[in-house]
Amino acid sequence: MSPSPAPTDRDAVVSAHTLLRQLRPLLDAATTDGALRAGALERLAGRGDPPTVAHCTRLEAGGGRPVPTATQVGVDAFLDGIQRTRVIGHMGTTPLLLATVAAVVRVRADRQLTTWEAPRLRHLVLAARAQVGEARWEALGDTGVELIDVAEADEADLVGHPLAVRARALDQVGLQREALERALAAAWCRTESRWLWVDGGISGNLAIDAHATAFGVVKSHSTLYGDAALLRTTLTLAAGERGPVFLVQHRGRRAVASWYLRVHGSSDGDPLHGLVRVEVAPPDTLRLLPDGQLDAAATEAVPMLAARADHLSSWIRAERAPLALPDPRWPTLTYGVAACEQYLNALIGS
Amino acid sequence: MTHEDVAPVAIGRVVATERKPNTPHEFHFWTAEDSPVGIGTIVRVEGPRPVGTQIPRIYGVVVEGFSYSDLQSPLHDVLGHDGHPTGGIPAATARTEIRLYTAQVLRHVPEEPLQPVPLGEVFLATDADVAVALRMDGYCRPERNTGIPVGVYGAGGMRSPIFIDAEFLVGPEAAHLNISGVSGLATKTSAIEWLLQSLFAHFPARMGSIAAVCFNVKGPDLCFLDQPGHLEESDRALYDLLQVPAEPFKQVQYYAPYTARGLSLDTLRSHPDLAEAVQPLSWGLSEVLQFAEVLLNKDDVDAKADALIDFIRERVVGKDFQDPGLPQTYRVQSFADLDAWFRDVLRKLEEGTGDTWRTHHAATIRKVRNRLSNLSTRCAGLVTDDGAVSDLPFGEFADRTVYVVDVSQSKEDAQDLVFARVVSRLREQLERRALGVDHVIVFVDELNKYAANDGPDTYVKKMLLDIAERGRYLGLVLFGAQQFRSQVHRRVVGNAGTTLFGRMDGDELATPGYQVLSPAVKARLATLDKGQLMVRHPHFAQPVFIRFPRPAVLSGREGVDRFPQAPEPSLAAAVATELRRLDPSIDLGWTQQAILLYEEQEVLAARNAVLRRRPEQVKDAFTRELARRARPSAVDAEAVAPRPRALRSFAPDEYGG
Repeated sequence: MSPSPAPTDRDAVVSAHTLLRQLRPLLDAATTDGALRAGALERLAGRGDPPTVAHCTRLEAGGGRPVPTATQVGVDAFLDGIQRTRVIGHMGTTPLLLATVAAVVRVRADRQLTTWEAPRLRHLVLAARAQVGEARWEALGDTGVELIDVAEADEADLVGHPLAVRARALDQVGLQREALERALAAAWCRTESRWLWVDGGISGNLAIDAHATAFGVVKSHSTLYGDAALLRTTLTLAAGERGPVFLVQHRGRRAVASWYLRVHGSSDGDPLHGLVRVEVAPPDTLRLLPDGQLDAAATEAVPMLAARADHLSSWIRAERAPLALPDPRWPTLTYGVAACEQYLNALIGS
Repeated sequence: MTHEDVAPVAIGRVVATERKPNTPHEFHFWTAEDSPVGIGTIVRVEGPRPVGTQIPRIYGVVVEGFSYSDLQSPLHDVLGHDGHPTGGIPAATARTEIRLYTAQVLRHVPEEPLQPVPLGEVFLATDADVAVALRMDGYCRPERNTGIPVGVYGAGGMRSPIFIDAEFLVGPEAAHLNISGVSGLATKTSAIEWLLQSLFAHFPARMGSIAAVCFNVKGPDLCFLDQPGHLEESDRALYDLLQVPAEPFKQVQYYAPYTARGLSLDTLRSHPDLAEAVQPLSWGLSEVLQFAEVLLNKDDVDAKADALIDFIRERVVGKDFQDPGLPQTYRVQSFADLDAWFRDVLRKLEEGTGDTWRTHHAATIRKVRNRLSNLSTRCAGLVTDDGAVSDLPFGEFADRTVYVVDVSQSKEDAQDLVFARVVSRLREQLERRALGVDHVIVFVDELNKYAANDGPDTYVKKMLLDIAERGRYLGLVLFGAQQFRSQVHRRVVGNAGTTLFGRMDGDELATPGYQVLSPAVKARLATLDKGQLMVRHPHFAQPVFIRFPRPAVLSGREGVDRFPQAPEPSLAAAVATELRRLDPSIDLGWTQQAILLYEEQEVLAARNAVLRRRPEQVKDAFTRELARRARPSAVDAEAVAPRPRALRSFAPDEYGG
């Protein structure tokens, strides 16, 4: 770590305060800089998708299989993003929100992490345009802020509820953060041949194709993939075992090859403890027939995909130390990703 | 040597939090893990924006360091290693760790307005920065030039000369130097020797002349100041950098009392190759009587006795004294004369009816006689019965000369007497501007013994206090050393403008006097190596750590190996050796023949008389003195019983500082 400043950190903090000062005259109540120190909605909301089981196409037969021990560390960098959204005031009865999204790649060399290129960072102002009114909306736009309407055209009634505006805003901010992460991952894949660990799924990122040296690791399991047998296999994986590879097809997104991996064993029998789902871009030849079956070329690609799953799983297992404690997500959160979050928190505040 | 020609690279950034804010006198900064910053490193902070028209620069010295990781509990690391230090898998990523330092401010530039230290970048201090930080730029500039090199400050491969201000070392602004450190490392004595060399080399001519009087109270450390010692290349490099000649003192004069038997001088510098440079230190009655208080404690001398001693001092010693009841006119010049006078006074009292003489009671007279007569025995070798005086060259002190008074072999009483009289004479002559030099450094080791912060108020302690508090106005400067500073009188150490610390004992560091130091600085003090010091000086807002070169003189340990102490000579050999200084033709055979029929005390008295007078015809003069002294006299009556002296071995700490 070097004492030389990252190019954007001070700018980012300064511009958040600058934005607030620019917007203050447009708000109905006096707003202070303290608004930026208030708790972010992401930390207050406690949001989560409802648990579901989703269909997938199984590419490998059998149950859990032990992951080979990695002979060397294979991951070179980690990518993660964060978002912070705060209500900074109200226009009439509708809230005005200021959000900051940021993403970073931290590269590892000699066991030390440094920032790759510059971190990506954007400030957004979100509101329900229908509630704010056109005149004020235009006034907001005139300040030069990046303005986002949180409501669809047919949702004018819904966003009359202030909490609905917040919920919509969080969704929008999430999308913006994902966009930053995608852009950063794409930049990596364009220029780097080193391996990048992306926090979260990669299905929405077209830049991460079969030739990319990047993979995604999903920590949350509100959606579990597979039929009953695969679920049983997944939930009973022993520490250091991976499940069979399967194909996940998201509507409107690229299909990804995926598998479950138990990074840490559970002492209390929690079936999700230490369980992550890994996503990689499948080989170009891996296409499903309309009936959901594999064609011959795809079948030939599966062994190669399985070998990659073993390989990447061993790398992921090698990242068990150091633990990301005291973060409560430590069984699934690798230290490199935690370090990205820590870096971004330092950059924009937590 | 310096980094002046290298583009400065920030090595840290100032940080401040609500819990750990910066102040005008203290700030915090972090560095990379491989940064060369440590306790004692001097750094410069560049303010991020101007205050008024000037970018603020703040100089500080690191006093504390912290290291921690993103772990909130050690338990997390235990878990990560499966409960065993070698457990778990090798960590692919090193855990984030911070090196956080606390620095105390040395100087703000500009000095006003005095603000908390800003969140700026931190740089290692260059030579120029060190000079500014320690305010050396004020007194090392050519038009003033009162800087005396004390050592080098080093950090990050850089070595910056550190100067102390002569006007704050020997006066008149401040004065005195005190050094503390554990025994056995030879740091204290070495530091004093080095500093004297540096002082003699750099003391500005416009401030006048300077000499040093060193009391050697133990061991042989100061006995070879005129002999070259072994220097490493690294030492020579420091001498070059600090522009001090790497050579022993050019002018050193040694003084030592005789042994009790009187055959030779009682010094560890008795090797025949070196003995010529040692002059005898011997005093007679009048010299000693002025300092009777040193040797007589309060139990000995009550008001009545004191009055009688004053009477003797004022009316009897050195004057023609007549009294109607006494049989003769007395001229008391020696202890023998004084005893004869006492005998007659007491005889008169015994023959008369009264019990007082000139208002002095017979018991008081007997008591004073007893105490004073005893002095020549207690200080045998130093005090002569015959009144002969051999002294330091008061009035003729020479510039850049060291006068070593070796009393290491003397008893405590004699040491006290020597110290009291020499310092009194120095003070007296400096007051009259008649010493021969303008400034005198007086080096005293074992200050915790001579100026203890508890115990009785001895004459020596009072003298040390007097030097410490008033000496700087006279040019009388105390360089004191001791193992435990806390055990030295507060006014003595408190008046020392410059303070040096070598390696310190942990118990000593736990005493209240060190509370101002941070735990890290104390830890460093407890582990300082030979040749390392912490320096406090009036110009330095905070203490700084320095390294100084080994003095270019023969150490005591090496000296006694190379110049072992000579065994006590026979009477004839002792006389022949001494007289040969005046007449090289004198040999042992002639001397043996000359003294064959005389008693030892007669021979020694004759020798001393010849040495004092330094006649042209030495053999004739010696023979005449022998013949004259063979007749019974009062001097003979006070002969000191011969006592053989054994060569003594040294305890290891006698070589140490």
